[in-house]
Amino acid sequence: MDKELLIELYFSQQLDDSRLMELQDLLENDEDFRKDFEFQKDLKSAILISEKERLKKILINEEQQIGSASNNVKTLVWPQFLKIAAILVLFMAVSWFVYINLSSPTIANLYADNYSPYPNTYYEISRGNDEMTPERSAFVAYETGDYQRAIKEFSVIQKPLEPNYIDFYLAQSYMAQGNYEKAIPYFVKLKQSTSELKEESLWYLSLCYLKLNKKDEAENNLKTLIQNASYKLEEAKVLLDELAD
Amino acid sequence: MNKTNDLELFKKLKSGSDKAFKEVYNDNRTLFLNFGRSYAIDENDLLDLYQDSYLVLYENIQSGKLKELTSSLSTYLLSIGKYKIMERLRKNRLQTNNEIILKSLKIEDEIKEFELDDKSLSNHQAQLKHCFEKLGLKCQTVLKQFYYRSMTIAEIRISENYNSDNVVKAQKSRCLKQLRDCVKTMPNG
Repeated sequence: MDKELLIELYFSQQLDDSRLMELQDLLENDEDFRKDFEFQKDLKSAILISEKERLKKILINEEQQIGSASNNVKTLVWPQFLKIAAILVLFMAVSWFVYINLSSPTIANLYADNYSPYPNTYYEISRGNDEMTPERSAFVAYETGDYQRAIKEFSVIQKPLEPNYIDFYLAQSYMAQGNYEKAIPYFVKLKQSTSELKEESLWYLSLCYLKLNKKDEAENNLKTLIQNASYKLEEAKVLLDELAD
Repeated sequence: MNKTNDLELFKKLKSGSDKAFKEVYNDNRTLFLNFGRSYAIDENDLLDLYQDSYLVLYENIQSGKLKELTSSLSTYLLSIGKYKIMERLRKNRLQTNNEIILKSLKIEDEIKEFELDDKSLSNHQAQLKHCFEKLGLKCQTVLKQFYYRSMTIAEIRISENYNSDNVVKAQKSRCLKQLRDCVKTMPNG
């Protein structure tokens, strides 16, 4: 096998098992080949970092443009904005005074202000496999808001003994449909486990209890969440304050 | 973001278009930052994490590690981001059981495979980087396509409109020689 071709196959990630063995054999027995190969590997690392720096500069530049674009908007409309802002602030102050004295946030409002379905942060990487597995099908349904279907698909996936992300998204799907009683047991199992979705489960569990008017349970879970201080910390504090009113 | 649009953007990102690179970054910025703000991460750190996550995604498309889109680009980004956020939280020592949580992450192995090689360059690698950046555009293009985008000689021939594979090989060989000569002139080169 042509040595050049072996190197080409290596760097284009097309080396099969037998070619890999040939490569390893050459690396062990041909000193010049080994040196040349190591040189090219070093070059690959160098190009990777060089390109990373170049791309990072592009992103920093993008951020500067985003920053200056929002500043320009402020400069252009500032005098007019001030007038409108003054009127709005006055109106809002009056409205707030009236509102705060005549009503308090309802459960429905608190829920609506705080709830949104957790995004899909899991995906199935198929290495060239087009097969529509139940998991892939479930997440496609979840992402497109077809929660009925998502529940059906998530339910048939074989799960390990420890609660995991499938349980989490199944609970999310129930919750999105307004079926809080069905969602709760899954969130409870997850919050008691060592799952990576433990904190998120505490939050959504609180919201389920909130919606079902189970204030004590909601508050207890929010307090645990606040103690752990990693997910929805500020939102949990605000919600807890509002529930205490 | 619909599927057809995602596939088109994936192809454009794969082709190395700087325009697509900026477009996808801007398109996903709000989504990512809103998601990340749920976690106890400083705003400046969050922006940094977004950029790092985005670069991981981009480089894995370029290198061919991410061969096809089975989910949306946004989902991939959030997945990478989630992992990086958890890593950062562990660093910030806000949770005592972070070790357990990270170990149980389903995607940890897959993300680790996608991680950029952030370890500092060896002396030889740093010299090669310096010399690479001094090369002309033609050499940088061919070498980037071969080593960074994992293209075959035939693919480079088609992409850059060379007459034959042998012409590509000869060009690559000349560029490598220029690099070796440059490195020799450097201290300990």
